[in-house]
Amino acid sequence: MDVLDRIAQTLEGSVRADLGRPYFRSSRYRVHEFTADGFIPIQGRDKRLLAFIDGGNSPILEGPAISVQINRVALSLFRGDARIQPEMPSRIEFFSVMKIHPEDGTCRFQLHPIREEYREFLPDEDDLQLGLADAELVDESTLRGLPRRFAEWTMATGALNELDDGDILVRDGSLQASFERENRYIMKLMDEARDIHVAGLSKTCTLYTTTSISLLAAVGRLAAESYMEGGWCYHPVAIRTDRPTTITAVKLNPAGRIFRMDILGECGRDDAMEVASALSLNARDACFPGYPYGLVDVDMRARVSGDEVEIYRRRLLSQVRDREVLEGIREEIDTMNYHDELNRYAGEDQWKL
Amino acid sequence: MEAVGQIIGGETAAVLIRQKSGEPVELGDLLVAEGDGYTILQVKDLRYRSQIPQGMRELASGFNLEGYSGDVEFLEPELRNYIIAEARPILHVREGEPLIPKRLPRFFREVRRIREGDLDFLEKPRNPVFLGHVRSGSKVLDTPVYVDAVDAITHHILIPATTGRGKSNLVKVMLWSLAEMDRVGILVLDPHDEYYGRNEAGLRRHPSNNVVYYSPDAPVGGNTLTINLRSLRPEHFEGIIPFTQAQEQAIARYYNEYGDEWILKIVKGEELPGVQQVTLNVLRRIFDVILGVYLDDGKIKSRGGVFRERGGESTIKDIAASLEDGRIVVVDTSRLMGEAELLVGSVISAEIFRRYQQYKADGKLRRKPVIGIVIEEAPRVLGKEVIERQGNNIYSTIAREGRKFNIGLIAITQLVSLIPRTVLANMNTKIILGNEMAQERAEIIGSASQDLSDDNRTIASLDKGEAIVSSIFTKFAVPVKIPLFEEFIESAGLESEDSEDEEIEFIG
Repeated sequence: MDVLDRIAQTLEGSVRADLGRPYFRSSRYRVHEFTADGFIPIQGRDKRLLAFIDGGNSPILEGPAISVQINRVALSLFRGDARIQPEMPSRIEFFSVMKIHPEDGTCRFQLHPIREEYREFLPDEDDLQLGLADAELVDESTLRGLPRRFAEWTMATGALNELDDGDILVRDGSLQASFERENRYIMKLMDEARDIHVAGLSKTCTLYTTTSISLLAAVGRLAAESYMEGGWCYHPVAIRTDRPTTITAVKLNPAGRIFRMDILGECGRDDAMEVASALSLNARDACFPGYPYGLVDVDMRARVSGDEVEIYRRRLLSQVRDREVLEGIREEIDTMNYHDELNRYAGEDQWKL
Repeated sequence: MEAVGQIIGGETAAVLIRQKSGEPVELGDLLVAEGDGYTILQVKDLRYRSQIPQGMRELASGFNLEGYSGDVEFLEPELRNYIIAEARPILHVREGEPLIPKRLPRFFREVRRIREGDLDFLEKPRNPVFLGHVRSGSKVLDTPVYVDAVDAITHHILIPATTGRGKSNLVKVMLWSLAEMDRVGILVLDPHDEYYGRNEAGLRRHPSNNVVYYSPDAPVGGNTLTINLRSLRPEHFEGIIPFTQAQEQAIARYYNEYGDEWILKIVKGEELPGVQQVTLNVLRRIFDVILGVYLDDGKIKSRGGVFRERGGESTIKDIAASLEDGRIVVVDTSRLMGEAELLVGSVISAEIFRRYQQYKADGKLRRKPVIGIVIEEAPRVLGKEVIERQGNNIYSTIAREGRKFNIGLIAITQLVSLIPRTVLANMNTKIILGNEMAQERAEIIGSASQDLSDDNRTIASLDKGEAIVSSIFTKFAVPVKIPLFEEFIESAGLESEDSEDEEIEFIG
């Protein structure tokens, strides 16, 4: 119990610590001190057109050096809480094949849209080629999901045609790049957006302060100390300088949580308030108060269910006529599936007990 | 086509339809799915469905209840929260011909509300008895519903309902139609004196001369209900009055000895060899209580004035003759005690039954009007226990054999469960009004002409004036809205006014 007491004291010390200041490891960020003046009350005046983007992917076949994935990226348009039908496809689907080539030290991707009309919304395959050294820097699931990540940016760029100046495009997640080449796509999006606001809302936030407390928790504490009521936007937390991005924190509904929101570009106070206020009209759903309904919608529509994966797998394998090739594919797959076998055995043992 | 929903699944007897938001579907609604003709479906059940997990719904409810509703709501509620209607295909109409459905409507087919033209196959029969208009849920279509009087009456009609659901109103509406035809004679035994309309709207106002009224206290234009005691025979009491064996034997002796004066002799207390004095005294008391007939200073008196020593010799014959002329005879039995009421009906029914048996034997039945007998609180004469305890009566005989002689019952009851299944099975038209009692609904459903197994909830939800007509003479169990009798006859009066206008124009 003494050990647990010491752990509890450590946690208590962390919670009771001063707010400190936002902490960013990289010097690319210009950090702003916490101040009550940073809070901007949400007014919810104008109903701007909101475009929401999110994607998902699931493996169909996987081997140590090869992976076939089904990818999906969804778009939803809302004006306030009213759905608007887009002119472009509201959802694109494509297969991606990743293959590692040790002989030339590369990792390459093939992209195959389910419909040819989706191709214009896909990234360039050459932009997805990585050196093995770079590929090994990220975890495998992120690597296999690379096509989907890039497609989210290209889909977002295409969605700009649905929007006018002052409207808002919202991506699920931050506006950070996991790969260097992603920055090219982000910069293109920023260039073409002009006066359209591009934002990224993160469901989770791993940022913290110099006193080791959660950044969003610190902002929440400051809001309470400042007697903030209703929805608000805290601007800015920090600004990324090399590729301008403004990092803010928002509480879009009094009944909701605080989220990290990035806005592409060096966004002023008024623009930040405008973005947050417009989003608040879409963040009133009783199931997810404070989180934009449009992001929930695209998340649901971008998911790939297990049943769908099984269907695609069977259809893919049915195209292989040569029995030897089928056996080879099965051997590739089996090298990745033994964990499932162990889980099944574990399940049987539990049943026996 | 304005869709109210879309078929999303289900099975033969339970097609699932997602209701379109803003287009509320009701229990009993008739919906149409088109395709190779069209299929008519009737809504049997409604239930909430949601894409939102139960826990989140509860949380959202908490938001609303606890004062947070200003900032949170369900976005796109029409997509995420909806109603699923469970409907049964009841008819498929192809080239105007209604058929029993043998396959499901197409999957994902939209459905619309029924329209008047969809029921053109409902034709007006030769001898139309108007029941009301087709009802779709609580909405009333401009499509009248009839049953053929000759067919329906000879195959018996049952009207089951609890109190206050409109039984009397329905019977009045039916009788109004029946009064317009001479092919049907109807005997109405009226224990509440509510059909003729002594002081309110009733059959008295019918423009034809086809309604005859008998009452102990007859108004102007009516007939005094007086039955001479000599008109009564021992068989009239069968199944109505529970006599002991000794009493029955005594009655038989008096009838054999004195003929049609058997009751007078008993009331006078004239002794007969073989009949004990105590038995005679009991019979005198029975006739005093039931018939209201007693001896006073050597004279036979009549309490209530219905059963008398003098007068009323031709009443039964006159009533029977009126029935044979295709008229409606309303007999006010409201001043009679229960058994006396039944006895009056028994005497009249037995007379008409005897006549029609003879007509059948003589080959004259076809030329005679069919006869219907309206009997309220039917279990008093058709109930299982009554028949088991007292034996068959004229009503139960008619229920079993009346069809052969073109005589039928129009039985009204709140307690269907008391009537034997064998009798219920013979009642081929059931006009089902609202009934809150589950046991009664089960009996009604079990003996209906159509499959009403999933109509339990619908029957329970029938409102006043709403009915389901289940008959071997209808294509399906027809939901009906019965008009208020007062409004119904007013609309008939408007036609009369139009006729007068025509006459005026003719004179001009």
